[in-house]
Amino acid sequence: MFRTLCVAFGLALISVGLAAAEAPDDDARLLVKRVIDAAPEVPYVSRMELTTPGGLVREFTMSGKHLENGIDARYIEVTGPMNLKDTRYLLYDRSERRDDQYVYIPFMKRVVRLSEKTRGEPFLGSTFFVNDMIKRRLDEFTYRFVGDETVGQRACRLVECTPKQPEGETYSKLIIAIDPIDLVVMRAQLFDHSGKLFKVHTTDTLEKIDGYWTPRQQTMRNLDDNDLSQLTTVEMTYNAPIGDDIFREAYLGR
Amino acid sequence: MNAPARGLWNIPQRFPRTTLGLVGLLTLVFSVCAARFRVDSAIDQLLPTHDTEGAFYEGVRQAFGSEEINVIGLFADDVYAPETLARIDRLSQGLARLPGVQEVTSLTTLQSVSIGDTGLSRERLMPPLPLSAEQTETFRNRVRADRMAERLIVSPDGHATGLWVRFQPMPDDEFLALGLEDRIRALIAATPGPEGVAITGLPTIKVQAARKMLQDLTLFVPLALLLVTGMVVWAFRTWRGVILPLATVVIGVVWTTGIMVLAGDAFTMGTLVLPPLLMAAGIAFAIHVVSRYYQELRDDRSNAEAVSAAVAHVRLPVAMAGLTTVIGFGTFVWSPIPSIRDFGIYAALGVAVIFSACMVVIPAALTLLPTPKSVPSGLEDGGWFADFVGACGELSIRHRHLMLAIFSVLLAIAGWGVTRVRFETDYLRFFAADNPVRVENARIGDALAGTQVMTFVVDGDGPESVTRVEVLAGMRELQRYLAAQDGVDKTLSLLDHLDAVREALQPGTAGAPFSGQREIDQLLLLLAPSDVRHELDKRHARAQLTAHTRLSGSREVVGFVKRVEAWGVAHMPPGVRVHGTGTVVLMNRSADALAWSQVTGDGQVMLILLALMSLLFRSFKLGALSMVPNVFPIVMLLGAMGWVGIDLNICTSTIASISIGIAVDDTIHYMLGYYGELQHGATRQEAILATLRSVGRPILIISVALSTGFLIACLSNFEPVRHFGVLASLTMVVGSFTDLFLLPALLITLRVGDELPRAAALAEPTGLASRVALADVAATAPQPIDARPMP
Repeated sequence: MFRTLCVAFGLALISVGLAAAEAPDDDARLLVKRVIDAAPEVPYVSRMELTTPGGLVREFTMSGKHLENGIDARYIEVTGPMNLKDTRYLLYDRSERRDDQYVYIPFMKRVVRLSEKTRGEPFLGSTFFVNDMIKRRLDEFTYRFVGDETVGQRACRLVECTPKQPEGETYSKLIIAIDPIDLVVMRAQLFDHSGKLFKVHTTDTLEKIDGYWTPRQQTMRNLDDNDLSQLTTVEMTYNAPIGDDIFREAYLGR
Repeated sequence: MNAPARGLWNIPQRFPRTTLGLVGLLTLVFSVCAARFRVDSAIDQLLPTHDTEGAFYEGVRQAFGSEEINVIGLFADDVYAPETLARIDRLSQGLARLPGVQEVTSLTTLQSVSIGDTGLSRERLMPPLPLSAEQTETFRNRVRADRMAERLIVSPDGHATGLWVRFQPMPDDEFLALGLEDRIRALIAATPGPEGVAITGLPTIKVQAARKMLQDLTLFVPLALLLVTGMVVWAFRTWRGVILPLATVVIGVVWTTGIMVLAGDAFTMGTLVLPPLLMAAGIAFAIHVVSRYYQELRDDRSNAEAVSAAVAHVRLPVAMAGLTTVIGFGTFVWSPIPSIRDFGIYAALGVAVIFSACMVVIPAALTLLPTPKSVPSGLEDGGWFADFVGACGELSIRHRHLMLAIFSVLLAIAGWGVTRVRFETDYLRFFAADNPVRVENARIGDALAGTQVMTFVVDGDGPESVTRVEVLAGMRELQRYLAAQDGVDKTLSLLDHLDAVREALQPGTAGAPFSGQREIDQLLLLLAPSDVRHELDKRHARAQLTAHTRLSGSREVVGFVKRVEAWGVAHMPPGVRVHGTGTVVLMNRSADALAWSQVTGDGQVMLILLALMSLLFRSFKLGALSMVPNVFPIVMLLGAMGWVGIDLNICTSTIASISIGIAVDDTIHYMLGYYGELQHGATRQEAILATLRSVGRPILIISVALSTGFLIACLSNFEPVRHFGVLASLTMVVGSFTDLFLLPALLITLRVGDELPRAAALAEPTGLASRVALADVAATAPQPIDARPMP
């Protein structure tokens, strides 16, 4: 069962797959599926730094776990700067129902649910959208090969991913560059609803941690505004011993 | 036929066919280029380049986006009526689909931050159409509660609404090429409704201005051509006397336009008057050359001898006249305003080309033509025209004390008027009061918020400085101060966005002081950067407050900006600076200073001309005297402006330099003629009268041509160009009167001519004294008939 499509970014890219000997498959969908299958299903905790286009630095921790009820959950807690400390996000990706997202605003001591539309908005003032930080479902897209290209010194196959229901999607189309050997996404070109390329995500450095290819540094360029943000994985722990309780709404306002 | 003398000046006569062929070929090349001329109505053309204010504005534009916004106003009894809302919705969708449109904000696309069933979101305020009566009322109340929509999107009485169309940054050429103005108007026409419609904004004003400029050019060029044709027909009434001068001015205009196109420049508000100005100013050179040619023919000279003699006689005065005209125009070359700088460059170039054409084309063509059987009758005896100017001179000499008294009184009155001259540039008033640009702008400004948008930039001392709690507190006070000023209809800032989020989370908190830095920083996290991109830069080091005002004119605008900046110095935290900018501020801030610098530049022109004239007459006294007939019209011009109430602005301030450069030409011809007469033994009185009878005719014809030429500008669609036309024309007329009535009185009273031995050497080589003989002969000779009269 194809639960999620790891498109390009954030955790999706953090969860790139295990190394594979080769991927001679010509079927684009199958190649994407192999990338997803290679992604770690284990719980993890990471410490990350995000720079905004204005050069401001946001520090946060991110934990992820596949819950028993079929939800892929992400918990994000801002640790710096001081005035944003303790701002927390909870993102649910459900396979059957609508996704949910919550934010805890410390100065108000209040948990606020965010509309789904906020997923198409910048995360912590960066060029990454909230949507770029979560997984997408494989069956929501159609796939086709559109070429080959060397990206980051890796020979990649280019796969065009088109949402079956573009309404409500942040992007009208994605072209991802997949290294078919290591099954990692090296680049994603994101198109807006007018069909114009407006963001490009690149995996700048990769490192194998606990047997998983893990992006150490990623860049998201917004071509419209000529802005860029960088996401750095400072620490990554796979198979982290985290319970389900931190992925509950009540935990946000603890 | 004798061979022409050797020398640089005689090359056209020695090689007439080659000369004409070469000039014809070049003219053909330049005419191909000239046919591709463009009109550029960009406001940037009126903004100074390379100044700190411009650089600051460019930085602000990059941080917060451009001001390329059109506002479409819809006027109805109730803009919330179902049909009106449906029309606004259709229009909004249609506008958003147009190429080059970045975003459309209207009553039906208006978004608001709220907490609803799906959580905190920024959603469209209006529910899906059609609305029930209850939904309409709810919608109306929600819009009324939205501070940012008030007066920008909907008028308080609900009778008017604005659709704000922001365009992607693009060059004006591209905007015109996309035909966005026409497409917007076509879209409005295709979305009919009973509501009244008006459009304003920089893009639409630019397009309308470009069209009006093209209309002006289309009118000016043929009218100017008609005028100069009339002038040369009046002056010579022969084919060669008409065709050759016309050819020189046409060559001048074609070459200048062609070079302008090759240089990538376009006709702007400043260069709009260039073709008629070049024609009117340039025809003077040709008239002098052809007039001299006909006079030389009187001495039974062969055609070639007459051409050579004419060139030898007129080259100095015409070259001097050309040089002084170029100096007059040349002062604009250093103007920081591109439009005025281009005017200076191309006017000077055009004058130089026409002068060259007069010295090259006319002699070459005349050399190839057969000797005419007679000269035009008017040049033989001077005719009634010569009688008239002679009578004027006699009157001036006979009543010289009265004349001097009258001119002194006029000078005093004008001098008093000069003290009343105001510096004021009002760019909206470039258009006539009944011009749709102004009418529609006023309609939208009256119903919604004022359309004179000014920007106040708050600069902090580093990243995240303007979002500090004390700076935001200062900005709130600043916004309140702005809102309280006369003429300010609406203000917008980052605080409005922060308040909107805070109000959604904690109703009743909008406008209250922030509890601390944590509150601000966490509220900012809930704002999408795109929501505040016009109010806050990416580093949070700079914020922008916008004031929609009804302030008009440079004094009002600059005064307002200075008040606000002073308030910022007194009230904002240390290290934080408030600075006004934006197209409106920049244009007005620079206008008066530039107008003043132009006026001071006039003084420099006069000094240069004084030096030139002193050098020409080899006497400072004569140089100074020759400046009197040129300075007097300028004082009269400024005095008239002061008394009538015409402001000195970046257009009208250029008249003095242009006029003096042109008017001094007459003085050169006059004074050289006068000394020529004295050299041949005439008394001062005889010399004055003889000079007036000989050079008075071309001088007056040229003055009439210039005055009428400038009057063509009165048909312009733009007020400053019309003012330019009437004032420059008036200056030329006054200059002629001064030559006719003041200069003779001065020459007699000041006994000018006593220094003849020195000055005579100047007149000798030009042979201007031969006019005395011409005049004497003309007085007795029968009037021959021109062999080839004009039909």
